Amino acid sequence: MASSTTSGDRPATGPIPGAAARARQSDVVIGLTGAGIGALTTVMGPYLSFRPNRIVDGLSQTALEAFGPLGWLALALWALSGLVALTRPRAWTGAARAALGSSAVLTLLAAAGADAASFAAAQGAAARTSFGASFYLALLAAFLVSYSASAETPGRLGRAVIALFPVIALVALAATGALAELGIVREWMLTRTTFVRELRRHLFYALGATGGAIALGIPMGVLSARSRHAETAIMGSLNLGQVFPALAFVGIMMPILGALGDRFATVRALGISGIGWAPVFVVLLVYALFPVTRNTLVAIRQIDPAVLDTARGMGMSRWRSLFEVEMPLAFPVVLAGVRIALVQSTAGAILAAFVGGGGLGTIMFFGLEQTSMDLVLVGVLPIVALALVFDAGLRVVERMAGGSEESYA
Amino acid sequence: MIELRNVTKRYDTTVAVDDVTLTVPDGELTILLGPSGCGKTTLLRTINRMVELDAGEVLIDGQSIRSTPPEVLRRHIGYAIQSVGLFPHMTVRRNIATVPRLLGWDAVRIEARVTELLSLVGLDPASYADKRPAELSGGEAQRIGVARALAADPPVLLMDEPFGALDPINRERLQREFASLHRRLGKTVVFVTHDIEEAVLLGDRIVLMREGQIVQTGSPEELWRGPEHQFVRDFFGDEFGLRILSRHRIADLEPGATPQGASARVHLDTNLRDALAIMVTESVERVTILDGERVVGGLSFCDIVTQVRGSL
Repeated sequence: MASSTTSGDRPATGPIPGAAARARQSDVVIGLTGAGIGALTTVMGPYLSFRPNRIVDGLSQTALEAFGPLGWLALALWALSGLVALTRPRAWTGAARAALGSSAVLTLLAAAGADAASFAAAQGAAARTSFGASFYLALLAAFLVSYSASAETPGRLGRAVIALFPVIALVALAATGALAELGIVREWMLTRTTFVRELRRHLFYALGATGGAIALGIPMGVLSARSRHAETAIMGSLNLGQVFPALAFVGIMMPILGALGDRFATVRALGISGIGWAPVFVVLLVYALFPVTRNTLVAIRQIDPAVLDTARGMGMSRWRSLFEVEMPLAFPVVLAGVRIALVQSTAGAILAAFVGGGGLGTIMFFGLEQTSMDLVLVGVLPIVALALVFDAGLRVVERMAGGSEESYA
Repeated sequence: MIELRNVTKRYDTTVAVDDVTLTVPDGELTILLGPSGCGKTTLLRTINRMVELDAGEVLIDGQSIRSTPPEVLRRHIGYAIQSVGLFPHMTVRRNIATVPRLLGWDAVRIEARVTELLSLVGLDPASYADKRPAELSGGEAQRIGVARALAADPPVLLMDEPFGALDPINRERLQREFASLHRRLGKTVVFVTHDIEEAVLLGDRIVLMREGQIVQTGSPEELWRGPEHQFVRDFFGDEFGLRILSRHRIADLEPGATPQGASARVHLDTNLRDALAIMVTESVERVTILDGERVVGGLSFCDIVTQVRGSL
């Protein structure tokens, strides 16, 4: 037989000029918007507030009022970043304007740290120097600038620099102790022991519920893919679970688990009762089951029937076909379900604080009771960070696993 | 030898295969032919128990297929289908090695077999073994599908319209290559198609089916010469004779006298249909037959018409 090479049926790929120009335009608009917001937040709005203690109202200042020359420097950095966004893009322009935007925020951060230190020296340990709305808007502005800059930066290295520079600079700044007297840092230092304990519990909820969802949801998804009856029963109940408001769901679980704990000594010995970790864990698990099960079901249903037919026709047993053919082909989509479950559980674990189950939500509610925004953020920021890290990490794994998936689409 | 005895398969109210009895001799390529919905694919799939029977039995070499668990049975029956069904996440090598792996062959033996099979289906082992199915053209994928079906050297091969999805040029090339492969390997092949041309070209025997039943069984020549039913005549149509001609070479006929003067020259290996086409194109009634460079006689329009029905 002669080798045949008929492969002329592949579509040509390449950038579409019009689309590229439009993307470039939107990068400029986003970059300019970011720089503009950055500049505005420097000159107006509450950037920093000084209070003798947590409870009382304090004095709010704009960045220019609070920092003087350093405020003008930040303003100049924002303006430069906007100017670079308007120039013709070259290899370095993205990194440059991202660095300018980040530097503006970092400059003001360092200045705020210094102001906080002198305020604390004057007022004592109870003094709190807290960020106001303008600061958080400036963070958003820096993100917009970096985001649009990343899009116009060609190399992977350049994009990594844009993403990592602000993080590394922030860690370096914190390591010098320059930020130690800021309200949020002080609250964190004060609650450090609690923080570590609640972070652990929070991770237990997020990872535990996701782990449970993997262990139960994948077999349930496989079962649903194999039988319409199983699908109706399983997906029907999971859908029902989804429509309950989370807090109401926890409320339902409390008497049920409480009764179980009272009735059976072994259940009680596991630490399961109406309050504490058990009801929250069950609710998070039910929520996490949905994306994992549904994605497993969909992924297996999407497999080319001819592939399954030949697997069976060549003598694979059902298990062999499942592990050697169906699961590998379903893997990227199942993983996407796991990612959704993990991100969702990470945010959802705040619930535990409502029923004495601990977690970072406890710190957040404590902050709300104390009307201390800094303390609220000590609870909330790590949750956001965890969710982002989990999401990005699993996306990377998906993309690596999807290398083969793309080629059989 | 595969024997199907009173095989019946029903789906709800419809009878897909209705009391079919058929013997498939060893080493022959038997075609199950018929219009869509005639039950040919269902009948094929009863042989490797992809379809379980409602009545009747299937024997391979005298042994009921029910005496072997389906998975084990299928590992000894090659299986190739129209949509190929290569495993997209595995390399070509691993795809071909599927059944040998199920049978527990060692790595050295598997590697040697993969190399052998790739050469057999006309693909360079060095450049194809590590490719993924998505990197293959339709024709290449189908070659790999055939190689995979042959991997563990099964005595029986089941093929369900294996070349149906290919473009006409690739289809014909693969058909011819497969015909010569079959002559070399001598496998017992059961081959489903609805394509009359393919059936006549490849089949040692054709089993013509309609509505779950066999209408007539025989070699293409037998069906052509002695159709037992109007359906056979209608199904094959007026071109049947021409298609039969394409199965035979000039060498199969008695050579006649060498024509005088200049005339079109055709080789002994030319099939009769092509020889006829040359006569029509050249507007001659007689051509000169060559064996290599040597003139061995002549062939006339009348020779084809008169001899074919008698001697083939």
